[in-house]
Amino acid sequence: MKHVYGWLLLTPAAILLIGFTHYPTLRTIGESFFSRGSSLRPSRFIGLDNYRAMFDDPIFWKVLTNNLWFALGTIPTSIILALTMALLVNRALPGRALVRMAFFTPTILPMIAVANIWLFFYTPDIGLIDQILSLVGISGHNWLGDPATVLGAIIVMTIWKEAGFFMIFYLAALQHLPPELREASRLEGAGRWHHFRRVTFPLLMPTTLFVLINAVINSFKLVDHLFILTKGGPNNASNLLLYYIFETAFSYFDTNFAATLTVALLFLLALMALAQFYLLDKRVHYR
Amino acid sequence: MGNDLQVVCLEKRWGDFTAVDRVSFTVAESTLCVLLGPSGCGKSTILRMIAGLEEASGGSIYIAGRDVTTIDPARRGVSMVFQSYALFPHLSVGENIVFGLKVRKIGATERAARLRQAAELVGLAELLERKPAQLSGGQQQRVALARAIVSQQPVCLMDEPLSNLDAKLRSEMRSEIRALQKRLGLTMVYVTHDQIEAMTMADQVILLKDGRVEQSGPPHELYERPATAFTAGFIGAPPMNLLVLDELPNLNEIKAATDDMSLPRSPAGMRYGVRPEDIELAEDGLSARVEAVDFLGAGSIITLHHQNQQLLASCSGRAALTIGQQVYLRWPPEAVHLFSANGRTEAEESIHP
Ligand SMILES: Nc1ncnc2c1ncn2[C@@H]1O[C@H](COP(=O)(O)OP(=O)(O)O)[C@@H](O)[C@H]1O
Ligand SMILES: [Mg+2]
Repeated sequence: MKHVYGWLLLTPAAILLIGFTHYPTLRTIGESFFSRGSSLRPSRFIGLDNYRAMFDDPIFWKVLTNNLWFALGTIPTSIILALTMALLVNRALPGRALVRMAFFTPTILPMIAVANIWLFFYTPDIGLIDQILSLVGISGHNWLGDPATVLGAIIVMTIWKEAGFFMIFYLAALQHLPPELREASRLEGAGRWHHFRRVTFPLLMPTTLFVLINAVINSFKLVDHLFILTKGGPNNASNLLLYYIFETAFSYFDTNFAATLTVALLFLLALMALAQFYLLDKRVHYR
Repeated sequence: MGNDLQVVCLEKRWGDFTAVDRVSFTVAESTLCVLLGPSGCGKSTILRMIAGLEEASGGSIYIAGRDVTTIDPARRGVSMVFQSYALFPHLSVGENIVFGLKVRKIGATERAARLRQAAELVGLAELLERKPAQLSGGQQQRVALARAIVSQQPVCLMDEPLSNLDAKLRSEMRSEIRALQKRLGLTMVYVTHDQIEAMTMADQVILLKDGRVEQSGPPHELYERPATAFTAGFIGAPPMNLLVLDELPNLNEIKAATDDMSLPRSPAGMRYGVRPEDIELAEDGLSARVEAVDFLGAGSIITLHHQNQQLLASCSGRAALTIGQQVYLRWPPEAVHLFSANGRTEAEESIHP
């Protein structure tokens, strides 16, 4: 009788979890073993053919490389920036609330709005960046139209958006550190930098791990700016994995190949989450 | 002069609020001075100003004759034990203890030697590899102590170091800290709100009230000759009885307790102090009714009522009294302390007119 009651309580959560997470995941994995169906040729089981096609697909490798550069470009910089900003606004300084809000504002703006603001910055000749550069005599540049600069432009914008978000986590963690720790090290003659390196930073490790995992996941989740800014172009120079999946599924209507790409994405994310937990576990848990 | 500590007219203000008001005292080399007082009286603030963690609004601090009032905390020659211990949770016990030595760039061999010595002094030699979270409260306290000792600073400051420990451990650590202070010849300022700690450990007690020094001196002096009603009520457990003479209809009764010791003619606002341990049960004297008897093992505390005023008496062993019983109390005339309306004794009156 007790069991029935317990299961009943679990049911709503279980339905949501199974309906929206587990079933779609399994379904996706299933789909990836079938060919693309059309009205003439119905979908049929083709084993690992889709995976073979994926590994032979130059665009797949291109978006994967882009994603790698995107992750490397955004994650360390936004984390360092977030930590620096948090340390800055954690001190008693005039107008602290205002500064905190300013740092946090990019995060609360919707992605689409952010992309529109940056579109204005990046517009050739009449955009903010080109106008400023023209003052010092540098002529206009099509930042989003040049394959050499487009990914960089997206990276800069993403850092701008993410750093404020991560700052909040660091700020919360900093406010949990007892102030006596700083006082104790001050009495011993430790300077600010020494205290940060030997005490504050190690104590922030759990937060860093959390932020890092979020940053990695976010770097593979980016899709909305690409809609507004580049649509993955030019020539896939700014295309990322998730946007490529979206294109495959909803522009080319190849849901089976999109499922295959999704499995690859899931696999990558799971692998990275595991690696982070294992590698950083030892350095994080001091309690 | 040596490693003495001198505080002169020290002040601390936050806006209009004066937390510390012209406090002066001197701690002789290798002695233990207790800053005692109720919560919020400014003890921690004084200690933090001595350490340099808080800026003084006025006055000066001298350590070993040197004016350190505006000097960096690390250069004052003080070590400090915090109430919360302030251990670094990610560092092992050993690393915690030598943290300061590393900052001060002391060589590895000397570091190891000093660590060993300090760890042995406080009985931590077996636990150096552990993290603070794996230690009991008492052990964490010892780590904080070792960290202060290892720095070999002449002046050691402690802010309620025992308040997070249970009663039994507290009395153990009390005597241990006192023994260490004597053995190492430390000049120590020890902050507490617990008068038992002050009585048992101090060479000198500075009793504070609302940011001012109420009375200072050796513990026995504060106990035997309290200059104010506040001191009388703060020192001693249970505290001194303070009867309000105005409210007694018949002063002859209270005279009966002391073989007719004379009382001032105009007792307006005066308080009459007598310690519970000086009160004896007798055949005649002041009549009182027994309200409660608390048996503590070695002795008992008897709560009594005379008219509408409460008195506590302590006696050894188990008091054979029943609640509601009528008893008579006596005490020797020299046990009586009289405080005038402003809370001072007659003797103090002439000093502070
Ligand atoms: N940073 C501060 N700002 C304003 N008032 C403070 C500050 N620190 C302490 N106080 C006040 O100063 C008084 C003395 O505090 P403290 O020295 O901590 O007392 P104690 O240690 O004797 O309990 C208290 O009334 C407290 O509220
Ligand atoms: Mg305090």
